[in-house]
Amino acid sequence: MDPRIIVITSGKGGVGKTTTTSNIAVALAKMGHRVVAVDADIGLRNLDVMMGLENRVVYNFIDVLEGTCRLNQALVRDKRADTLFLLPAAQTRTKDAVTPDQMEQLCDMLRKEFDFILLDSPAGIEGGFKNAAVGADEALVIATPEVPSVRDADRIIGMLESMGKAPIRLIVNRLRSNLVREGEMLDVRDVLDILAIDLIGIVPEDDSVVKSSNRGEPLAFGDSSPAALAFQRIASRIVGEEIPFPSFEEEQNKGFFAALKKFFGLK
Amino acid sequence: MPEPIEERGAKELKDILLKGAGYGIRMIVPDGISEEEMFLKLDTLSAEALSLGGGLGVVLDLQGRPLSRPSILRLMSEFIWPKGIKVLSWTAYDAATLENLKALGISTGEPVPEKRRKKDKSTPGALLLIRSLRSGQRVEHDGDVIIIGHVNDGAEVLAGGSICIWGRLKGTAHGGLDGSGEHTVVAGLFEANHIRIGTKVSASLNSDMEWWGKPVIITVEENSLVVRKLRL
Repeated sequence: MDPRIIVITSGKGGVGKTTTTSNIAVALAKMGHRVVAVDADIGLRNLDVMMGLENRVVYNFIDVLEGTCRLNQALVRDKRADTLFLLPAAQTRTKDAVTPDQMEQLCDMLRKEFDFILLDSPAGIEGGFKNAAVGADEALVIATPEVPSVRDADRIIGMLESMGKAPIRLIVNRLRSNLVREGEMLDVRDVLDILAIDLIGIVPEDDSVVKSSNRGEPLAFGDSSPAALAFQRIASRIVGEEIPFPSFEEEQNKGFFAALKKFFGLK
Repeated sequence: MPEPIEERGAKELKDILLKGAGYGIRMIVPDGISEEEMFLKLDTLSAEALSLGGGLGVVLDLQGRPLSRPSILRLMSEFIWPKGIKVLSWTAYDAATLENLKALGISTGEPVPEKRRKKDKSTPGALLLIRSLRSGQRVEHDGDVIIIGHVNDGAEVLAGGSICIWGRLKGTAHGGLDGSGEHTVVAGLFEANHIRIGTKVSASLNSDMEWWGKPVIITVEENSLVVRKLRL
């Protein structure tokens, strides 16, 4: 298969770009694909911590671009999945440390080695985002069902369209069905109505995401929580599988009945 | 902070000063008087003084006066609209005032020079855009603008003529950029927080309005913006 470079972005900070990157990377690697997750957030790196690989980072991709080390010296292999790698960002540099040309050069190097190159973009619309997006073929835009997040996502989608990225697909993250029912949160349909791009996944709000981030163990490694299943479905859709969108409410009900069964010792 | 315009003169002044300028009249409202005094002085400003402009535009120079949004709206409803003053722009060097003006969708800063504003009156033609405008995107055209798509929150359409939006209007639409109130804004579904035609601005629109979320046609009638449900 042709290598695919995908930027994961949002515009707004704190909506779950890094969590999504790490989980999709794991899910794709578990399918047997060679995957690298690139932390493009220079100066504020987090992806290494999310993936539990922070203790193994020696070099970063700035070192590669500056010729301080070779690419395979900077890549950190994840021992939990043979085909999963992390390419960390520099923490002591700023977004200006790389140019778009250098990022394209880096992406070309990675294209030769991997099936999927996932670029975890920094928040914002400035140089950091542009650097992350410039080398990508396609994009996943993350939005939480909140008005500021949707507006920022709209801004980012416009910029990605003008950069010629395609397809640009949407992940609605941290959906809380109880708030949607109460009319306190935008429905997925509302978000799609505004953003008018294809939906590739809905990730429900899930406490296990926080726990996994703190443990450095992406949920997609084996958890069966609602968010873990959502990330796995997104990865399947990325590789072209036709996975229907389960009703989120159904999942909630399943969770409730599962809990009830467990309580009565049925399972 | 930019050097305040007419600062020295205003400090000495306790009265509203009208000064001729290339674009029309500069109305300098000194910041050394209280807000109530300001309204009193504006109220007593003679009709003759205001007619000196002969229909020319006015730049309202608020100097360093802190002005809240309700006060700005009061200024518009008690002074600008009743006296039919054509305000080209508002200037202020108080950051909060500037922010409030911008939040209400009011044009701030020095006015665009006459040469640029008054382009030749030959019909510039309509611009047809078959796509939606996303947040941060902006279209500006001297003639009419027709958009077959949505204008999302954070997007802007500025037209010398009228604006027709086939889809949903959540962003900014400003028809009659040259100051003319003869133009129209039409939206297939209106959800914008403010609208502008010519020098008229309506602000703080919200979902309580009966025509919110419906097809609308907006015009200027008797110096006021009028919104009507569009019935075809």
